[in-house]
Amino acid sequence: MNANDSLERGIADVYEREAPQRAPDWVLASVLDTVDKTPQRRVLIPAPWRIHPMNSFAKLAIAAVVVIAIGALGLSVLGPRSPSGVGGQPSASASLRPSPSVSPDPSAPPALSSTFTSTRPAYAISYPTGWKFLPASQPWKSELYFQSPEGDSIYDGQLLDHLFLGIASQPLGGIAGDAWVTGILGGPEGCGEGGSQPITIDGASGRICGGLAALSAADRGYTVRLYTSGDEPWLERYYDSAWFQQVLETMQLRPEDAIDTPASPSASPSS
Amino acid sequence: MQTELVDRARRGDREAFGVLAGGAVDRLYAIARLILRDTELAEDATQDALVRAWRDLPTLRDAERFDAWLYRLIVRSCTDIGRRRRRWRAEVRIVVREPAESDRASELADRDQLERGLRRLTDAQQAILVLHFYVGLSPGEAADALHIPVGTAKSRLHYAIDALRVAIAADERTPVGTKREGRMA
Repeated sequence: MNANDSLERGIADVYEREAPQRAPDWVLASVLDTVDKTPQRRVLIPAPWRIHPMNSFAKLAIAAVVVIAIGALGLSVLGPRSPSGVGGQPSASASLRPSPSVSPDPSAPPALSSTFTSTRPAYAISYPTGWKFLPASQPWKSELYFQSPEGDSIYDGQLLDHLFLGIASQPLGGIAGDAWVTGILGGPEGCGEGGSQPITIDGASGRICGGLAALSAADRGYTVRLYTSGDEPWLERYYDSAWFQQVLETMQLRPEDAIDTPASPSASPSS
Repeated sequence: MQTELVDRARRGDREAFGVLAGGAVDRLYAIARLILRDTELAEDATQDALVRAWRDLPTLRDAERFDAWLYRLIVRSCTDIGRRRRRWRAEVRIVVREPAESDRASELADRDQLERGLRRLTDAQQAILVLHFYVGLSPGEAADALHIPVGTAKSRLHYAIDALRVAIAADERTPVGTKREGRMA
């Protein structure tokens, strides 16, 4: 037996001796109690690449390609409307126009009369009156979800994670903008390049696929996700792709102002 | 069986999650205790990891990777909790190994020395040692659990053992009565 074997066996012995056999019962009880009150996360945009262990070179190459952002834009005061309001119900597209001429139909989404200016992903966007927002506090590196610290969330204060917009951005890291966009739309939540449509937002080109948009501006990639919960199927009648594009058209990109370093613990304003 | 439970829990079934948590809590607690070397912190880390597991389960795409995923969560919780406590770094963060001295340290290491040496390692070093020597994961499996490249796991394991060896050597040089714990609350 050599010195290494001796040391390694010693480590294993110490661990075996020190490891407790059981956790105190209250630990599990406390966990289950907390779980009862804790909702699970709704994934908006899973990390486009399953980050399997890889060497540094591969990691660097892939990191340049991936990214995602999500934000959230929400809805407001839509009480649980019945999707069966067929007779006399205005069409979804008609009710989605946030122009001043929109009728005060309670089923219509609020007008996009508020503006959120993001300092981290760096953009400005109009969102429905009454919605709330939670800005990102960290660079976007992994999966985005409702109120993820890595993306902005703009959401309805009542519906919360049942209806929201998620917005995030990241440096392209040398990756071509088109490739980055394709990578985002080719992820699990996307529909690939074939099923997407080209869009231009604030002069930046990208693609949109249902409630997921990705675009590149300067050396930065942006992603915007409109999430409507399957638990509330009626939402899709109002917050559809036409509404989503309407929101996107208000976006002003400011890639030169983006922040890619973690926030200090003290800064995190929320509406 | 576990895969089915994971699938159910991922869809929001709290009862299924309770079964999974009940089956994992002792193992996670032991891992946390060995990494953090503190009972109360280990309890906190175990709770934190299991609550994270519940909250983030919908993001786990492969139910068969549940165990590795749990290991990652407990290590992350230990890292977060360990970071909160102030840590006093002893003068054992030696980069250059001294072969003769290190080998001698290995040969002479006893349990007390090992325990003192382990206290001086970083949480990341503790984690790789615990996963390898206590849980029994291979470097590849530990890499999967920690979500790091296999090469990184191997080198981290190597340097952790080296750091332990150096810590033991430093411990031997420290006069009796002046040995320090290496940490403060």
